[in-house]
Amino acid sequence: MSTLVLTPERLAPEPLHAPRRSLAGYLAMPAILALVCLGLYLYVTAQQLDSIESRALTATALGTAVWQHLQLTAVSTVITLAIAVPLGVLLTRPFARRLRPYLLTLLTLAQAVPTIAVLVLLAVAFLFLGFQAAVVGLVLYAIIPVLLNTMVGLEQVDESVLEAGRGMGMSAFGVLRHLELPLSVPIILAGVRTALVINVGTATLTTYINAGGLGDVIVAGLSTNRVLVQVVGAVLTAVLALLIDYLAGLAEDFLRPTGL
Amino acid sequence: MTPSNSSPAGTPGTGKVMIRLENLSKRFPGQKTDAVSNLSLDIYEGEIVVLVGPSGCGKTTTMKMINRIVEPTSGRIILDGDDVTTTDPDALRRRIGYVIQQVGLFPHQTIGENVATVPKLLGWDKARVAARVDELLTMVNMAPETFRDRYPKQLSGGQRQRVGVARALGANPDVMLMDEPFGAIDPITRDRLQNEFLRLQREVRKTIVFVTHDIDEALKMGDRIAILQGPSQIAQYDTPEQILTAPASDFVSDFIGRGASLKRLDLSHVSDITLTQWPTVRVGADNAELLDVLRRSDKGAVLVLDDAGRPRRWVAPDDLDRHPGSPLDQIGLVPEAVVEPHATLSDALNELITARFSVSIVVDAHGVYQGVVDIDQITDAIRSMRAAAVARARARFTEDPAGTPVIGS
Repeated sequence: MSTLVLTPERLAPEPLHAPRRSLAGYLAMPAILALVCLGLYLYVTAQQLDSIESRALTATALGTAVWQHLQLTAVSTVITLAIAVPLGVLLTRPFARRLRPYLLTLLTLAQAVPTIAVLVLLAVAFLFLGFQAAVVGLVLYAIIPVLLNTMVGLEQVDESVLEAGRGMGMSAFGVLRHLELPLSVPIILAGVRTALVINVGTATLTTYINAGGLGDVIVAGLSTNRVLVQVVGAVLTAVLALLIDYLAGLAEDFLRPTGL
Repeated sequence: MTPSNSSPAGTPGTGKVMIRLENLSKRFPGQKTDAVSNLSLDIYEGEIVVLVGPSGCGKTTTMKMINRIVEPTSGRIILDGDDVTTTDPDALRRRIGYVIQQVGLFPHQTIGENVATVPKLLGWDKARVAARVDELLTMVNMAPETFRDRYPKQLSGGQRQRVGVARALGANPDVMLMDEPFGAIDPITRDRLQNEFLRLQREVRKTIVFVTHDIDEALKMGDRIAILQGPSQIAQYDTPEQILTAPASDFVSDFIGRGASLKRLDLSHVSDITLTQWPTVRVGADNAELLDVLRRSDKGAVLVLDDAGRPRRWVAPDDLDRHPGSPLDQIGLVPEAVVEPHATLSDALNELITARFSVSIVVDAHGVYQGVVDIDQITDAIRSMRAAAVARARARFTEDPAGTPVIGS
């Protein structure tokens, strides 16, 4: 009696991941964004600027606006993560089952209030203005996507993987650290990306409570009726948003654990 | 109920009780009835005990209470003499191998890292862990250099379950719990994995609690089988032979289903019976010698063996007439029904039913002819197995006037 023996060597290993983007794929977005910036620069320098325009469009003014904008985005995203990820972990633990629906309803309600309204409320009711108030407004808005993704990420981890881990004597914390969190990284990162993109966009509104950013440029253009200034502010915001989204995409590609 | 401490003869165990479950009950929150109710069971060292029964009989729950993945509502679990009902569950689980149907390999870790899980939890040093990983992968027939650095996604279902078994053996636990480990695997691979696992078990001699809903798998894998009937009753706890020959109740008979005698054939091997001989000649023999051999037997054909003694052809006198002068290994029929001694009688029966001359040829591991098995030998084997089992069952009644089964609840 002969048995068919499949030698393992004959079974070629499957590729581990759908191939990440090609090098050209990775370089396309930065190249496009650089071209847009160059085009904008050439267009602006070709124009005859009046005194208001030339004051609004100096390198220092724009640089400060971009820098403030980046700071707003970065700080609010970091604070969002620091709150939403641990909260997501807590809410998926068994003891928090009962608390969960209430907290989620509350946060979803909070998200229904537009950021601008929050900013105005903070300004009017508490006389809370400037950078810190802007960060509070942004964080309140961005918490929900990160929290939901953290929870979904933790809950989609294959139950049998967790049972195997517990069954072999990993502690509850060990299971969280070595299994649940690494396995939910892709989904948590998708939430972070969403938060970043929301924050870049919404940060333009914080100009109304004197927190700076590219909103300053746009509003300056609007109030002085200078279309060129508005366009520069808007294009720069869009470029920044796309760039940050691109960088977050890179992070997703490279931080995803091998083997998933 | 007082469980017997002695392991009946004919089983591989040492007779020492490795796991004792005492009046275990589990009621899940919000349920009106117990999932497992007041169950007691002794599991002997070095044996595979199969918990088998219909869905909802509490077999998985019972198994999961042993490593306290499910915490018992009441009762005690005694592992190797220690009461582990309330000790640290993580420490307990590191002493017990755990294999589940879905395997549950960690997808973000390599095969090597997966297998190293428990040794790492126990704080072994790197060199020792690496050596152990290679040893375990070799043990489950997976070349370490090929598989160590692959990820679970790159393996087939059967290979994953092998890794699951290797991982459970990580820190060489005395006890293994296996929850339908081969349930999600195609039948051919399942059969191969079961055989590999039984071979491995002959080397490692673990105490194994194995859950399945498939009575045939239970009969094949178990040194002893507990048939569970509902949450509170072990219908029978006995060796496969006893369960087949002397089912304790109608429930057990129904559960075994029809064909109990055919199933018994799965429990004995060709090596257990005395083979009969068939007239044979060597390839170099001439026609006269062949006809002479035939004349002295009552058969219609001879089996031609090559110089190493391996069966080559069936040759009948007609073949000699039809191909005068041809070498003997080029005429006649190629023997197809060939089995090795470790084959079960049911394999042999299967082969011989379709075979020419109604026999299965038995060869050793090198393919050398040993003898043949025919249908009469198989019926004899069935008859003697039944007689032996009936005698054993009767002996028990006569020794124990109360007629209580050895284990039950």
